Formats: sequence, C-alpha cells, structure tokens
Amino acid sequence: MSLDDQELLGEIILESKEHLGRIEPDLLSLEENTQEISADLVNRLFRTMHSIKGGFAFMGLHNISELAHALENVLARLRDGQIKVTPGLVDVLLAGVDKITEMIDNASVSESMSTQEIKEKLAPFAGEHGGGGAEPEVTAIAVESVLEEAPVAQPQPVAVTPVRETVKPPSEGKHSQQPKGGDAVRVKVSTLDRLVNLAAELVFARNQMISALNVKAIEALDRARVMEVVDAAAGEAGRNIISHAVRAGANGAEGRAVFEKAVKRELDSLKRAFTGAVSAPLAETPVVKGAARQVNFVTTELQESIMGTRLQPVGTVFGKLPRIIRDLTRSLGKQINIELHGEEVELDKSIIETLSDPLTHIIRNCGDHGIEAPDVREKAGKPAEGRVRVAAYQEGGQVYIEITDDGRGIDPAAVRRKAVEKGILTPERAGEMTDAEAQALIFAPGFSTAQTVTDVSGRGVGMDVVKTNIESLGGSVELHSVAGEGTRLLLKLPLTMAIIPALVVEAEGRRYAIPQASIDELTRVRGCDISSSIENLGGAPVIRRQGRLLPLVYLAGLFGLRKTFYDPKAGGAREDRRGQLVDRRKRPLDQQNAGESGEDPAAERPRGPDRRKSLANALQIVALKVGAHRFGLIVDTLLDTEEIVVKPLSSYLKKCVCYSGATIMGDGKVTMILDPAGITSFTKMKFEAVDKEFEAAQRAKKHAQMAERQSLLLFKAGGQEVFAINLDLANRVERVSAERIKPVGEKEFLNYADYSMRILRLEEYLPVSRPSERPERFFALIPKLVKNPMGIVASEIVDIIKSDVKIDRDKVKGTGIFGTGVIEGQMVIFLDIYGLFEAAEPEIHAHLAVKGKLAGRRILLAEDTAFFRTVTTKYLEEQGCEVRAVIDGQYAWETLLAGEKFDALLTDINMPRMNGLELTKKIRASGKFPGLPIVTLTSMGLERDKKVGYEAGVDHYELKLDKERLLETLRGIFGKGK
Amino acid sequence: MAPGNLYLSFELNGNLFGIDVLLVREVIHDFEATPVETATDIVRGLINLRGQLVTLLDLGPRIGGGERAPGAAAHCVILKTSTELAAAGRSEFAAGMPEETVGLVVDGIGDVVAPAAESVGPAPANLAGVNEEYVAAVALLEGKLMMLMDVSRALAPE
Repeated sequence: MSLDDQELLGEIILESKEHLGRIEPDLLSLEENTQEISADLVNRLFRTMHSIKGGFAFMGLHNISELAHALENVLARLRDGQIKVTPGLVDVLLAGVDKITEMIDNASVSESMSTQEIKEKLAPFAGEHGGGGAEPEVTAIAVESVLEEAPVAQPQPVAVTPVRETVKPPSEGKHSQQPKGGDAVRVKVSTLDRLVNLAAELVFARNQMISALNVKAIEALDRARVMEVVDAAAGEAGRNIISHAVRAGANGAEGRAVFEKAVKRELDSLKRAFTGAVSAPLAETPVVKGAARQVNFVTTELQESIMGTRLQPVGTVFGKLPRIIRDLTRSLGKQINIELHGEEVELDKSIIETLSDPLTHIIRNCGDHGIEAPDVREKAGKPAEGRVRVAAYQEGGQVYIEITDDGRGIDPAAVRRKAVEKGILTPERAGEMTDAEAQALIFAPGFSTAQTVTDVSGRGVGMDVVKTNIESLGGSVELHSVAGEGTRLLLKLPLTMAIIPALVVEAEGRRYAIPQASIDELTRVRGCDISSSIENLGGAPVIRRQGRLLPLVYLAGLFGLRKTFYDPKAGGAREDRRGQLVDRRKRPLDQQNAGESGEDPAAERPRGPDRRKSLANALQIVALKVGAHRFGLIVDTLLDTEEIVVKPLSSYLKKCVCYSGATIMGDGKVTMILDPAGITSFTKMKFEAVDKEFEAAQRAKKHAQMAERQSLLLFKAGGQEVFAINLDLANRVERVSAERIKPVGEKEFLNYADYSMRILRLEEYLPVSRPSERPERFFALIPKLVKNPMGIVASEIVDIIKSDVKIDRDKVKGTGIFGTGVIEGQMVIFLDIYGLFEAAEPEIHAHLAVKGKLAGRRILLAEDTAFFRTVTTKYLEEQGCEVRAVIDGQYAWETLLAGEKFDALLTDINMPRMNGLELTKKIRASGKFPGLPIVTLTSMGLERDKKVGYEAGVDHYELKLDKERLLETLRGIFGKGK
Repeated sequence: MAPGNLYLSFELNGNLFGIDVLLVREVIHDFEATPVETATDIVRGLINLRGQLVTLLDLGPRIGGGERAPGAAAHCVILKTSTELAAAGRSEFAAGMPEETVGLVVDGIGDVVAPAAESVGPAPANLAGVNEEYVAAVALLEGKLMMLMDVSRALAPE
C-alpha cells in the first residue's frame, strides 16, 4: 500500500468511526419509538452504512465492506417498511455495529476476521438478500459516495440524543443543526497543538510589548521634565562654548584647536540629550498606541479561538453511556433510565479523551452496584425503574460532571467490613472512621463492593483508577452517598490543561513553578519558631499541621544546590552547614569562612543568638498534595501566581522525575514546573511512618476526647498560687467561718456536732506565699480515700475544669506537691494529698512507711491518663519500687513480650489500642507469664465490672488513687510470695 | 558523509569538529540557559528560542578530548529536527535525529567549509582523547584535523 493509500485509509477510518459513533444513539432512539419510525433517522443509518461499505470496498477491505453491506440491506428493508423495529432487531444491528467497529479498529487484519456469526444473525432480517457478499456495483458507488457525502469533517461532534427525552420525539431537528459538509475542514490535532503554542507565544510577546510601551509611556508623561533637561543642557552648552571662545581668543591658533574640540564635545552631549528626550514619547503617538491596543485585542481573541478549537463537547463521551446502560438493563434484568444533560459543555480534547474510561466505569458501577433489581426497588418503595442522571455544567474555570443515581447507595458498614476483610484497614481504624470516610474507601486501591464479580464491572479496574485518572487531569472526585437512597459523584475538571495557574517560587535564586492544583496550603514558620515547630521523625524533618505530620523537603537541597541563610549581622547570604533543620548549630563556623566575611570569628562565634533564627530566615513551606498524602516543600521566596503555558519535557529529561514540564515566563526565561509526585519518588519519601504516627495521634486525640480527662478543682489558699487537686480525690467542699475553728496545741480543728476534723493550712507545709491575713470565711476541702481526713483551707474556689494537662515534676518540688502544670496560661500547683497528710501527721503515717516489702520490686504500670500515671508512679517509687510506666495495653503487652521481667502488673481498664481486660486475657492465655500478679486500677467500682475482671484473670481490683489500699494490696501480694 | 558536502566547523574541548550544514537550523551566541537539576551531564539547560523551548546539550563530557578552555565563550548550534529534515526532503539525515529541537553548546564557531574529497578519511585510532564512537570521519583542513561528528550517535539519549 502506498503512502497515499495509507493516508486515504486513515481518513476513511477516522470518518467511519465518526459515523459509527452516531449510529449507536440513533439505533437506541429507534428502539425508544417503535411506533413512529422517523424516516430521516433510518435514512441516515442507511447512508452511514452505505458510505462505510463504499469506503472500505475502495480500499480493498472487502470483509468490512461486506458486513456493512449486510447491515445496509437490513436497514434498507426497515426503511421500506418490510420489517419492524424490535428489541431483537436492534440487538442484532448493535452487534453488527460493534463488529464493524472492531474490524475498523484493526483494519490491517480485518480481512482475516470472521463475520460469519454476525451475518447469520442478520440473515433472517435481510429477507431474500441473505447474508451475501457485495454487489457488483459497490465499488463504483463507493468512490462516488466517498467523494460526495463522506468527508463531513466536524470539529463539533454530534450532539447526542438522550435515550429518553420525555417530551420530544427523538432525533428530528437535533442533527439538522450540524454544519454541512462544506463548512468544515479536517485539521490535524498536531496542527492545532502548534497553533495553541504559537498563540501562547503571541500572548507572551504581546505582554512584553505592552509592558515595554507602558514604561515608555510613563517616561513620556514626564515630557515637560525632559524638555527642562534639554533646555538646561542647551543652556549649559551655550555658556561653555562662550567661555571656551573667550579663552580661545586669548590663546591664538593653539586655542582655536582646543576650542573646536570643546565645541564638538558640547554639541555631542546636546545631541544625546535630544535623542533621549525625543525617543521616549514615541509610544505616545496615537498610531503606536492604537496599534498596540489592536495587537492586544487580536492576540487575546486569537488565543481564545485557537484554544477553542481544541475544545469538544462532553457529548462525545456522554454518547456512549446510554448504550452501556441499555446493555446492563438487558443482561442484569434491571430497569434503568439514563438522563443526559449539558452535552454541549466543552472541555479540552485531551481531557475528553481521558475522561471516557472513568465515566464508563462510573456508569457501569451505577447500573451494576447502584441500581437495585426491580423487585428490590419496589419493596423499598421506589419506582421499579432506576434513574441515572449525568449532567455537565461549567462554573468558573471548571467543568463539573455530576453522576447521580437513586440506587441503594453505599452502605458504610458493608464498606468497613470489606475493607477489613481485604486487609486495607485494621478493625480499630475502621471503627473510628466516620461514615463519609468509610464510603470514600471505595476509592482505595484493590477495593470493590460487588458481592460477586460480574462480567459487568468486575474487570479489575476499580474506583481507585477512576480517581487517579481524574486527578491526573488536575481534577478531583467528590462522593456523597446515602445508604438506601442513592449516590452522587461530582467530578471537577479544568477546562484545559494547556494553560494552568501556577505558583512561582524561588530557591537559591532559581525559579520554579508549582501547579496550583497540587498546592494544599502555604505556611510560614518564623525563624525563632523553627526549632520548636520542626520535629524529627526517623531522621527526616517533619512539621505538624492541623494534627498531621508533614514531611519536609528543602527544594534547594533536593537539587543539591548550596543552602544559604541570611546573616543579619554580616548582611548577606552565607552557607548553611546544618545537617538538619532542627539542629541548632552543627559546628562553629570554621576560620576560613569567618575570614571570608571579614569578621573576627572569636568575637561573634560562640555568643549571640542563632542567626538562622532571625526574621529574615523564616521558612516558607508549600504543602503539596500527592493523592491522599501531603508533604511540605521548603522554598526561599513565594514570588507570584501566574498563568503558565505547560510545555512537555524534552526526551533528554525523561529521567528528571521532579518536573512535569517547563514553561516560559513573562520575562522570557525558562522555568521548570515541579511535579510533587515525582519529588516524593525522587526523595523516596516514606509516608508510612508519617501515616502511622498520624493515626496514632488521631487515636490518642480521639481517646483523649472520650476518655478520662481528669477533672480538676482549682483553688487559692489565700496567697497568689493556684492549687489543683483531682476531683476524684475531693470528698466535699464546705463553707466554714473562722469561729468554728478551735486550736489545739499547734493544730487547728473544725468542730462538728459530734466530732472534730483537723484543718490544714497549705502555707504551713508547702513552700508557698503566706496570706496577709487569715480570712473570716473560707472553704474546707475534704479529700476522700484517706484514712484520717483533714480539711484543706481554701480562700477561693477558682474553677472546676476538665483537662489533660501535663504535670511537670521538676519545677516546684516538695513534700505534698506532685508538680506543676499550666492551665489556661496560668501555672497551677498539683497537690499530693497523701504527701501533705503524711507531713502533717508524721506520727500516724510513720508505721505505714514500711518500705521493706515493696523495695526493689519491678512493676509494670499501664495507664493512659498522664496524671494517674504520674501519681501512681510516684507512690510506688516512694516505696522503693522500680516502675516501668507505659501508655496502653498494647505497649504493656509488647514490653512483656520483649522479655523484661516484672513482679506485678498494674493496669488501667479503659485504654486505647488494648484495654486492661484484653491485656489480662492475653497474658493469661499465653501462659508465658505464670503467676504474674495483675492488679487493675479503675475509677469505677462496680461489682459487675469486678466480676468481669476476675473472670478475665485479674487478681485484685483497686480504686484509682486509693494509695493506701493499693500499697496494702501489693504488700499482700509480695508478702505471700516470700 | 559524502565528500563535497558543506560542514559547519566548531570548536569543542580544544578540538575542531564539523557537522553537515544541512543539519543546522541556526547558530546563536547570546543565550541564558535555565539549568535543569538532576538531568544527565550532557544537558546544559533549556532556552527560550523565540517562544520555542530548546534543550541545550553539551556534548563535551560525552565526546571527551581536551579541557574546555576556561572562560570560553559559549555558542550554540541549533539543529533541525527529524521532522524538519524529512519535510526538506532529507530523510536520509532524518533517521536518528531527535524529534525535538536541540542545540549544541560549543566553545567556538568556525567557518562553513567544503573539505576536498581526497582529504576526507576514516577516523584514526588515536584522536587526542576524543571518543571515536562519535566521529564518523576526519578531514584535513589547511593542515588542521577536523572531526566530522556522527551527530545522530552523539545525540542518542542514554
């Protein structure tokens, strides 16, 4: 086959496919309206087959041409009213169209493809003509038809008729809007691409010119000043010439030569002044201004129309959908009605092409998984016929495609179960997810909710591919589904991919463009906050943003550019030698470096603040999205947002994964476009660790929210200090007037009707300020869980709050003090009631301090609430125990498995990950730790709970913070053992 | 590499090279290339040539030879693409030429020369450290050796 023939064949194939694309909706609308068959419609079908027949016969591809002929025969009989439209007929015709499409797609091997089966199916409808071969005159007609009616080149592909357009009868009028053959020419996509590029360049040149003219224009506005300059120059030149002349006159012939030179010099400078003055206003002349305006206008128009040539109506992809739904309804026995809206909405050709597969998959899903069988629907009180609606609309710079169905929706519980079964999720994680999060799991790789794999949608392509495809177009997918009611998917797509908005950033003096679509947020970390904000996770810097960890990458470091920082002292950039962001100083600057900047190294090196933390060294972090992951790119400067023309990368740069392309900026310089996904693979960024940490943090947060945040009673004791005790430890608070206090020796007692209770003033036992005077009225705080309660004097109850404050045990120390914490910006002293009471009544507590039995015992403590962990640890350590405190049951289990030996386990019951009872059961079931005493600590003392605890294998059941009983129990355990 | 063809001579790493002028679209002298980090060593960067993105290749590291003269002025030979060559009826040159526009960064541009047929011969074994893989032939030019570059080989992506 010659080159020309090849080209011609290409043309014929292209054109036939256009025709075939139109046939399918035509056939479907035929079926919709069997009563009233549109002659026009049948004629068009007939003509299409006819021209396909002719075209391929001409190219010698008789197999295709014969099949077209067979179809043509059937259509001819339909046209002549010899046969009626039946679903069976439409089925066969559709099958024929499928076959012929397949053959055309594989034109080179089409001669060897078998058409026997389809021809046999067609035969009954073809009447006396049977499934025979091409008629003799075919070739002649063919040439004619190719020439006459075939090349209906249509940059605007055909609007697609909805399967069911409720009011209007199908077809009529719809297709008549198409341009006639002669109005259009076929243009190669590559030509369009080139035009698009040229238009973009023109835009760029226009911008440059306009900005240049604007500068000139501004200068010109100051014409008066220019004239002044020229005037002054002329005046000065004149004066100089006169004075030279005077001197020359005095010096005779020699003076004359000097004079001539001087005059020439003066004239030259005058000329320069004039040139400068007159060239500037050039831009101001009406002709130039008008032309510039015109160029500007035309360029914009030109660019828009050229971009427009690449736009195609989404109808080209929508057109395939009714057929898919039709096939589904027939094969699955469902009733589904599909509605299409907004087929005329236009999108860039490349986007349309990529959209086809995802959309097909979504529609299959709707029909297969979404819409229920008719009887199921009726039982659920829905109409037997399901409804799928596909609508496109444009809003702002984006096109939205909305796919809605009124099917069964996505059941979050089923999704959770499947995800766990498939190992995509742990059961815990699944339980914590919201319903919307669970539904979004259908986008997870390897997920499919279909109960059985059907031939309809079980093709190994999942919604994850849909999502990836849409995202690769710079778009996004939103899912909204209500179980039992239906599902709505919203695809957001950019109009075009050729021009995208991008953020231009700078790193070490080099510019880079980042597509806006991949930017999550912008963050600035002040120089002085760097060390507190940036953490280190597995050797890599991370920053916490909205509760999630963001791995950080230095853009300059990524490319091996020299890192510099701004030295406010020296007033210039200098090399940053830190190994890590979090490092304070890696090492002192070496002599050579210091010498270069001309400073005295000894004088400035060891002292002064870390210069990298100055204001000028703030970090600019651009948080980027890569699928579900995020990472932060550290850049030096954020420059601007620009619309950039994306140019593909050279084949010599294929291995440079960090870029998605390059662009030419307004100033004419080339700038690389960064590809976030490429950067993560280039840096081998590990998101697992970050995700794990994030999940743990989320869990902890969730747990903290629902679990025992301790309730604190805040009070003052007369001085400035605010004290806190755990509300669990407070029995009651009483109002007391001073007259009820009776001193007995050094002690004071509060008198009740039949007994008296000792009163304790904090300032006498703790290193705190003394009140200036003793108040007349005050409160007595009476703790519980102590053998001999005493009332603590409080001058003022500040507040009762719930808090998960951390206790710092180092700032303020002393008997009776646990430590300090900061609550709402205020320092609070946590009281140790037991310590305090021991200090107040040393004689009573002396006998209890029998450390012997507990000293040296190794105790494993599992407790998730920081306060209780701290307190219990303190009690045990006071008794000489060695305490290993862990934050949940899982850690405790791992610690035990790691082989550490313990004499007893104290465990809280309610803990994240693994609770105390699960831990107990695990320990007992493993048989690895025989005889390990297990004591549970809980704030609830219900008998029922105890029973469950003992059944699980708990030895003792203690109330939290009842120090004496706990110690008693432990002593009992160890006493027995020895 | 038919004798009688016209060659553009240029200097690279202290040696004299020649390429068939039919392959040359133009020569530029004043350019500012944007470096592409992480690219292979033969990529000097990208330039904007009247709105077209052109990849500048520095064949120095690949071809070898002497040291590049310090401070040597950079010139750039912009080559025709295979499509352009095919369109110009020079399909025999088109094979192996890149489909995109590339430019060769060289140290100096010489004249367009037409070596006499008898002065053109196969590349000798020892070519002053130049990798002879990329030399199709050599020509004697007023006592100087000009290496005729096998451009499609020298431009092959790695």
